[in-house]
Amino acid sequence: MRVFKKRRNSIQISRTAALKFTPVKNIQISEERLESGEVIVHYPITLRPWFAGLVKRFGGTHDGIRPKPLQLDKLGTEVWELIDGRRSVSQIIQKFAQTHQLQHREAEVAVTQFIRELGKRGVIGLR
Amino acid sequence: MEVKWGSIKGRFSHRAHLKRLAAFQKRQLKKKVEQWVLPTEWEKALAGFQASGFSWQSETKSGRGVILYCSMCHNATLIQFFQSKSAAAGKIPLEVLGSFQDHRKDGQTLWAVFDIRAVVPAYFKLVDYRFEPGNYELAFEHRGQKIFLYRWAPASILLGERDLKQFAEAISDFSAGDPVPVNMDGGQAVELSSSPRLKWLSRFKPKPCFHWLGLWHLEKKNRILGVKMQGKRPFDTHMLDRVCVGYESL
Repeated sequence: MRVFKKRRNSIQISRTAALKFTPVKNIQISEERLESGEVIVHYPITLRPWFAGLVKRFGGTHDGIRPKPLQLDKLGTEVWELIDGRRSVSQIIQKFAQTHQLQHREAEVAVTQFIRELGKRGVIGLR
Repeated sequence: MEVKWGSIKGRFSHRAHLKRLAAFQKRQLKKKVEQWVLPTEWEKALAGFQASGFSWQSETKSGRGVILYCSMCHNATLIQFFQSKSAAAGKIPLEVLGSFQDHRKDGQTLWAVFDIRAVVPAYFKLVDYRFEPGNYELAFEHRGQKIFLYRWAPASILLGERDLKQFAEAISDFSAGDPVPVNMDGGQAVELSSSPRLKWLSRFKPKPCFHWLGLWHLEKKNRILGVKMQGKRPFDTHMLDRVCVGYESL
């Protein structure tokens, strides 16, 4: 057993470079629109093998993949609609700041946090 | 050009600060800092300050600057002008120094952070701040009295179908009483205040008993501004009015 694990070098991207990326929606997700205009995104999650076995035993799905809902609020829905596979992160920020009369920096923090959160869940990817 | 400043506690020694600066520059940047006699024009421009000059020279650049100390507000400031060997000094340093102020003359402090601007009495010291997307907060304190400045954005989303009164009720800090709608420069605003029945008893209570809260909606700027004041003693209403008038979003 190794006591001191060597830390993996994570890829460091500069802020400017990160803002140039274009967010793209995962093709495996499905969207549902509520009456209020807000969106619920259903994204797939892979169950842990032991839990998938348990689900299977009780007559659940066999592939170990389940959709999970994620309800977006009004602002989240707006950003979600701006993600069209063509606009870069920086363009989305600009549009968002313009719509709500926000300062660019404030809009940047809000939008990048949201995009990071979606990325962590695998709802979107960056290219 | 570079400007640095800080508050000084106790006595201020120009010589000691220059010595410390020279030692740091020599160690870190291999530059030699020397005392420099200020020209008469500079001395005239800095008439309200205790000033001492310094100069330094490296291979490609040189610089001249001043260390200033104001005995009124106890702030020390370092201003230095960088200069490449080929460039002439010009009149810019003189204009900058002539216009330099480290405190206002009306006993107020102007705070300008991101898009908010507020004028607060100088004796209120900043004790806390929070800048989150959509929600800014500044807290000042003086002898147990606290002033909180709030800014929310975007107001259209935060308010939604609600009015400002309902918004005020939904915020935990503002839900202690019943907000009263008022008219402020033609815009929507609410006020809320509370004070104890026996005012003399309030000083023995551990928590502040006097509260005043005000929220107003800047429709054109899509923002909501708020001022809260709390303390164990009654407030100076004129001061509170001045804070509200001087608080704006750019």
